[in-house]
Amino acid sequence: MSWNILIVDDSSLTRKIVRRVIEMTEMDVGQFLDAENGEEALKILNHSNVDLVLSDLNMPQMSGVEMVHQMKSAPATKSIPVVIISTESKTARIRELLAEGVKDYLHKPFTPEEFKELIQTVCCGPAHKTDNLSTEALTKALETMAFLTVMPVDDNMVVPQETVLAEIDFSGLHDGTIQILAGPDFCKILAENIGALDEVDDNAAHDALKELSNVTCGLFLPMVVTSTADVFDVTVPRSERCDNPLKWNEFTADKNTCVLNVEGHAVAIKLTVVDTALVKNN
Amino acid sequence: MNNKDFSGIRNNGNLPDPWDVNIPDDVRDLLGDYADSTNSMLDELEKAALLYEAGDKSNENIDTIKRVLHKIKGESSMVGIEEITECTHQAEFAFEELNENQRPDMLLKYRDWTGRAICYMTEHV
Repeated sequence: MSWNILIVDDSSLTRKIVRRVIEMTEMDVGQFLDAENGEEALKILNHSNVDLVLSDLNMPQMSGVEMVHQMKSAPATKSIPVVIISTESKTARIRELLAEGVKDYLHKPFTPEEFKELIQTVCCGPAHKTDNLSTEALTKALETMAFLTVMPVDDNMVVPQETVLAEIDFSGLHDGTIQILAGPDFCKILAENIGALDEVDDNAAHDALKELSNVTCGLFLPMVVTSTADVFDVTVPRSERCDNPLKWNEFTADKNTCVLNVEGHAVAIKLTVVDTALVKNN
Repeated sequence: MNNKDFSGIRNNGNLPDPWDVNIPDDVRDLLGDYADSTNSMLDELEKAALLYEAGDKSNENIDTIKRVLHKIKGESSMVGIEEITECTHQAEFAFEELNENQRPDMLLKYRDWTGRAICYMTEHV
């Protein structure tokens, strides 16, 4: 397949370098297109065949964020893969864009190898295979996970970390209990659960998470590795409990936000299920 | 890997020598473009810093300062000039950390150091 690539960045030098890096991958590129900002990019997208958009975030006139919003709301452009290229670390803004359908995120600067890996993910889905952990096992592990973003509801509340990864025990919903694992323990349990490692030390767990990160476009790594909490429980208030997993949607019907108790603190948890079909089938 | 300490930007301390900057071999042909772009942004930054010092603490002026720093950092990281990337990164931090009176001097110190580094690079490469 020959790719038409649109590079969106207000720096002509950066556009030039991105192009050079792509050329070093020997990827089959049909055409390189350039735009200085989101507005220009949308005009190009309306009259050109573009297979991939690489976009910066901070640009004058129209930012990458606004461009993504407009692309995703227009039928003609919503399926075009977008990859954010930015010097920003994985901020909430980037996580939101990933949740909105942006394919991936590349931190500037990036190498031809990193770009090649990205293209594999964008066009074929996860293609990463490791010695210790199979892609299948990792994907399976991922299917039983969900994101929870913990936000304080008042100034006095202590939040363990901004965002945690959660392993959801779906059957546990009958009892109204979800166990949330974060930090090093999460890494260890993850590595154990996917069954590839007999004895999991911190390094192995970290490696496991890195592999997971590769498979999932780096979505998880920064959040989990930087968190320090161990294991804590979320107890679903009786009024929010769901007796039947088939009624999962009812459980999250409050605009995906439920008030739960974490270690006695009231928090609002935005719950996004990776695969709702899987939940319903359980 | 750059291990030089640029925290002097944040605490008005010493900075590494501006002529001790590593330039990757594979981007030497882009240095002219890089120097032109960075110098132009440094001029914009200097103007904004002087306006700030003179009392223009409007959101617009602050946005200009942040945008310019962010762009210099982005271009420097793409070209692989780690010293300027790190120095700019520290300047971004410093702008957030310092009080309003300290900010202009920090920005001018950053501008001076980066300008010298660019000047040395263009003259000696």
